[in-house]
Amino acid sequence: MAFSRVQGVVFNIQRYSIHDGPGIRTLVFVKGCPLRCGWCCNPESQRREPELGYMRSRCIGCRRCIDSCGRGALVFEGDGLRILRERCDACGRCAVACAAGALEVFGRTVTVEEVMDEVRRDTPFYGSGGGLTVSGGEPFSQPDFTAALLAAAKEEGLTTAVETSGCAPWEAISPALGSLGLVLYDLKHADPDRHREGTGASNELILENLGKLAAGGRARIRLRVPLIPRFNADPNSLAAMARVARDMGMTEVDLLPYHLLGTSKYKSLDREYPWAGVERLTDREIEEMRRPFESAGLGTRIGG
Amino acid sequence: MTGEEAIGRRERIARLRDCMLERMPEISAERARLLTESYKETDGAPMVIRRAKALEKILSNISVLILPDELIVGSQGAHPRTAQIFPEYCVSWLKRELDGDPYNFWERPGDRFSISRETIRQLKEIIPYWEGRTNEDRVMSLLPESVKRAREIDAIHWGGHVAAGDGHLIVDYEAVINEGLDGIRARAERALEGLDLTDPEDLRKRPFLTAVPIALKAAVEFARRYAAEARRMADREMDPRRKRELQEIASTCERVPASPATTFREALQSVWFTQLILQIESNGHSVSLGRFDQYMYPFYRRDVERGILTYERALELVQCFYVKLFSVVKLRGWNHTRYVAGHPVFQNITIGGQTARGDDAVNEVTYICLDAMAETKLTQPSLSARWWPGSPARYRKRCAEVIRLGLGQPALFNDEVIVPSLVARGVTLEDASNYAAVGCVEIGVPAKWGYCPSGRCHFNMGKVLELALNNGRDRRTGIQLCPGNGDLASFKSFDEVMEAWRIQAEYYLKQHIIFDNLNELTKEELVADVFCSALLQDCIGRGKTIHQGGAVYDFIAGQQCGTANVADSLAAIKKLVFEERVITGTELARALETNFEGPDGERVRQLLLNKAPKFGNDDDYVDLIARDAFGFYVEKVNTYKTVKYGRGPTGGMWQASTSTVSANVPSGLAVGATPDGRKAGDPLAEGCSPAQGRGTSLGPGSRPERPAGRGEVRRQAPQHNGLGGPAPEPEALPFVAFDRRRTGENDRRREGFLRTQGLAHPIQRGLRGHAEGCDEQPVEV
Repeated sequence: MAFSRVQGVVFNIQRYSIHDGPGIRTLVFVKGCPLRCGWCCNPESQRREPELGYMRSRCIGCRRCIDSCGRGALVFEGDGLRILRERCDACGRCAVACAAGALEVFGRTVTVEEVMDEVRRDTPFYGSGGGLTVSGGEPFSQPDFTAALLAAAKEEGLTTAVETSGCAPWEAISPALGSLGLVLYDLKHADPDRHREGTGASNELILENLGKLAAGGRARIRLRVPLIPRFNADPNSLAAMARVARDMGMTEVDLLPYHLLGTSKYKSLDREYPWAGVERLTDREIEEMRRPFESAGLGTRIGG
Repeated sequence: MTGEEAIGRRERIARLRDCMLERMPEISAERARLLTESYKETDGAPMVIRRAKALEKILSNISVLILPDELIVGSQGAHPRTAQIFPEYCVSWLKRELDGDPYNFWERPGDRFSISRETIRQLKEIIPYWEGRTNEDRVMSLLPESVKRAREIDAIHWGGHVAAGDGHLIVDYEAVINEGLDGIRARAERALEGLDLTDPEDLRKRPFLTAVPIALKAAVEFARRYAAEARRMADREMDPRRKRELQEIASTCERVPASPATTFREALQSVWFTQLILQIESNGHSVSLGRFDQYMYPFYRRDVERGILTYERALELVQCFYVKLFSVVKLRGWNHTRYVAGHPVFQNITIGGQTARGDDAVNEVTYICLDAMAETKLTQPSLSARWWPGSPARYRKRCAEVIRLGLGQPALFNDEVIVPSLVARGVTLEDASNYAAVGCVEIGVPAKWGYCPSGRCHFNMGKVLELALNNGRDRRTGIQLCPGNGDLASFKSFDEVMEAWRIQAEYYLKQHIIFDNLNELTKEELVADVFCSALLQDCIGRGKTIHQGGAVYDFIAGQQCGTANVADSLAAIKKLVFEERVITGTELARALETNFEGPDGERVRQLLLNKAPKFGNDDDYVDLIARDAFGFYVEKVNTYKTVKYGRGPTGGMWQASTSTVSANVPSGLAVGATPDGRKAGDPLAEGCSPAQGRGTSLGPGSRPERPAGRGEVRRQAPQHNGLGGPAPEPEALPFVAFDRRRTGENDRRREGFLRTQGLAHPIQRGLRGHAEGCDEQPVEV
């Protein structure tokens, strides 16, 4: 099939996932995202190109990686390694040399067929509900790959879903729609300026795409609102988003509470975590945040 | 069902539960004292008669205890959770531990018991009588030196197996409740009368058939003692409600287990007395209850139709029954305890599945069992849910909901795999369709399968691997029982490594078989269970105890641990030493000898950990090595006869098992560093799960094709995000998709393996939410 040889850059394939769409699902994480959300828990997903990560806690200081690097991109300083990022081309030789698994290249180029080989392994477990979810990054930042992957999955009778920020040209989204059963669509803020401050981009395109998707009526939409302290976890912001959701014809939303699991990954990539020091919401606070949505007549689900 | 009824039920169960949990279990000398007195009185008589008379003496004199709020009665002794002593099996550990070696019972690191000064005194008084007469003494006196040495280096281990009874079976509860013990006794008496005493074969049957009525009458009298006690208490009871309850208890215990049960409650009381007496007769664990929902349902339906029972009331009775099952505790020697930690007794109840006619078997009692588990929340009984494509959605959902509570219950058993594998062993389709779980995860046919489909000697695969890589010499003790074909430094190819594995595996398997067969022969002679045998088909018909070959089916198995360590180690050697050559055999040997503590040791360990594939991640490279290594053990073990071979049962052969309980921890203590990166003394992998923390990219499909024998425990952790979101929906749980396509049809190589192992049954134990990549936590089995 023509689409089976389409290539994309993927940074993880996660089997047996139960939170991103119905049933048991295999999640394919596509690399590259137009947004730079300060709270992002997958910093390795943001850039399109493969990158080298270094988990200092796993390093045993054997320094074999330094010898393996042909570009002099690794130096040992103090009790750990420093990656000279401008020299590193993420070729991965050091990761091969690293016995401890402290070095890892995030991102590899794969074909649709290679991904499907992995996805197919769990076919008996998908049943009638489970299937493939393309996540990211932003799946529509690699529109050809995402569309081809969804088409391949649909052809094999799997249910299909994407998790998207919605921040992509409509032309990148629309080719996938014929193969798409469910869109898990992020709504991060209703206010364009606040959206830009938190994510680096305005929400205008996102809302416009959401409107088109809702009007098109082809794929089912689940709206997902991340609950982010210092960004949108306040009654006014939530109420504004609830209005948007209702105006788009939604009947319920998923609320995804902010968490800290991405912190160590920023360190491994030598990046600052913009949300460093921000604490998780308490269970009570999270419960409170259902209210603006429920007042607008929307059902809420924590997690999702 | 009224709300008031439900509140009353919950309060009653909460009080009963507290009563069981608030105090430490207590050791009693009653049974040991009565047994000893009886043995002294019957010296010289045939052993089966002595055993029946001893049981009679115990049941006629042991303390009778009816607790407040109880509806189902019968206790192992005067304390709500009494542990009796069984000196006929072993007194060596008892003697030591009564003196606090290695611990006083109440000061153990786990599985503690209280004991009074008087009990200590009484036990010390009877120990001298038993020294030299116990099952352990006899076995040890007959053991070949090689077997003792194999134990010394910890390649095999038999903690409880000489020191306790057999257990691991399901007796004919259906006959007990429908025929009554008097009915079964009449059968035995007719068989006795029908013997042709001029025929030596029949003459051999006479002692057993004479003993059976003694044991069954004793059981009936035991119940009548409870009836009398309940009457006495009722007469003094001021609360009219409790007075009525006690009167009902009395009339129930007057009828059952002697007569056929006429109500749900009588059937339940009858089953409990039977279970209790089995526990008093012998201390083998894993005495299981079979397809409880099937044999109880006719009583439930009749009572509901007659208007004398409601779902709510039946639930209360079953919860009372569960609490009674929880009251069963066993005192094991400390050394044995380490292998089965957490007071486990393994009384397993099986629900669901299909009938012999191939219809779905789920009924209202099935749901009562699940609801009782969800509400009683105790570690006993174990619940096993049979699963097949015709299992109704409501049943699947309720199972998922109960699993979601985090109790590790129910375990799921896949009919689609188990039934054909039993048929392949010569079990009739009707009996195979009627299978039930025995103990933790073993499979047997209720009422027809002899002791121990698993649960014999522990086979330490980690130690066997260590020996294989060191020319058969044990690094810790220097003992070399079976010279090998070389060592890590000298092996020229991976084939030589596999050959080394096979040499040692076969040698130590033989030692395990010799030990267990000898132990069986000794038990046959010294510790027949007359009551238990009377309740298993076709002991009365054949005039034989179970040990003598009375059971319809008789396959037995040991236990093992470390399969994943063996597979991971062999894969690391194959890949890193022979294929990629990133480390030499000599370097690896040195790293293992020094427990990775040499200058380059940690780097070597990291290589082993990170640069070779690990079992349990759906990676054929290592999974097929596991198949070959474990498959060799399976193939060999299936060729050995048990002592019942040719004496009546279908089978009489050994079979493989992967059950571990907690043996992987003490077994690991004796094993040095292994090429999977495991450090010396660390626990081995359990059952056929991946090694701890190494099942990192679990797909649901990475499970069923893994090697399995008689019992398989495998934990599944879905990629729960651990963020306080909702628990997985039942529909998302993987077991809804147990699928035979994964166990064979997709992959010819694996299918071949399944054939060699004869039996494979993927089992789903409790699902818990885990953050991705979290180590799997130990759970009590």
